[in-house]
Amino acid sequence: MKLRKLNRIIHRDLGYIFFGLTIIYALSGIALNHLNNWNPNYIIHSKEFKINNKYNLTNIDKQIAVDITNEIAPNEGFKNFYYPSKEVLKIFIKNGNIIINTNTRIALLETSKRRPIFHQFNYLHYNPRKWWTIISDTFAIALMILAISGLFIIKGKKGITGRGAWLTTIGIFVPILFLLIYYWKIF
Amino acid sequence: MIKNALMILAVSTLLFSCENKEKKDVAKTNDIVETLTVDELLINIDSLVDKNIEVTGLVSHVCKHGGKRLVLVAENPEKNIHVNAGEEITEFNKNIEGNTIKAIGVVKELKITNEYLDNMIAEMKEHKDADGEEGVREEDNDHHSTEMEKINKLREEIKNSKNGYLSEYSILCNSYKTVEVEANKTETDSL
Repeated sequence: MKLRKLNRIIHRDLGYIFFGLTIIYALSGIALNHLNNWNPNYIIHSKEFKINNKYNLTNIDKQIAVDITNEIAPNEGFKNFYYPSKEVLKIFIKNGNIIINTNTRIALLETSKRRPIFHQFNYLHYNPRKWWTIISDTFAIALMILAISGLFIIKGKKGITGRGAWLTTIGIFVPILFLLIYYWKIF
Repeated sequence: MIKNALMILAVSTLLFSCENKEKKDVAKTNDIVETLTVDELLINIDSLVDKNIEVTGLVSHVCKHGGKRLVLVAENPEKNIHVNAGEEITEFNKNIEGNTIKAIGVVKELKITNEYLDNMIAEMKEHKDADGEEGVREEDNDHHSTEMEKINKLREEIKNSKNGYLSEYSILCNSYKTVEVEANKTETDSL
């Protein structure tokens, strides 16, 4: 078998095998790049409420905590409560919590639920288990083979000796430019 | 043919992983030095550094981002201990907030020295420089000055400390389980 044909077969089959992993790492990579702008793992909703004056908030019992929960978040089950400090009461509910300032009586209801797809993809991206390390290392090696074999898919003007050479050079130059500006601070 | 191969692979992976887990769990529980509440742990924590312990406490917070950290509070809720997920735990389930858990892990000590704070400042500066002038928002500047205030306060505390450093303790958790509902009620009522 000719070398170029073998190269194409390797490139094609690795592409098929690692299609799923590429999508997982690419999507979660974008998600994790923007941690400052959003929470890729959870959808979080917050809402402010004023607590009814009928409740004495300085030393509540479980029944009052349940009543407050039912008033503010009737669809969320009560779980537990405690006072992190004298002025703050925290009630835990099924999918979040209610933080109440006992002086101002202002309550902040925060509920969170797992963001579909992203939570699962990010879970994998965070490298959860030793076995996954083997899989992701294999994927990383496969990506290098894919990149190298990709250079030699076609011959001629559009191959690595022509157009391909220019595009590959641009692709290598971009990270070098960033290193020069931000890492070595040449400019 | 392919189906059979996949079935064999799945079953053997399952068997292997179950066997492995069992061995590790036995090792974990055998090594535990003490079983404590958060209050008891905090009293003698300096003598338990690098030792395997089991601690029971109320989960007041689970990190929303990676789920890699949680906070366990003591009977006096102003006292708490941070618990970090060890290699065996991918993430703490956010649903355990408000539950009482038993966490098994190793007590870790972080020594905060002036050198440590210098490195912290250098890292903060590096981040700020990397963002560039246009990337810095007003809240980032506020955050930066608050962080600097905290660092200066820590420097003052280090200066007044006996050892020349401050100790920040945490638990590197290998496994955890939610305590029965009955125990949870008692914990809640006692607060």
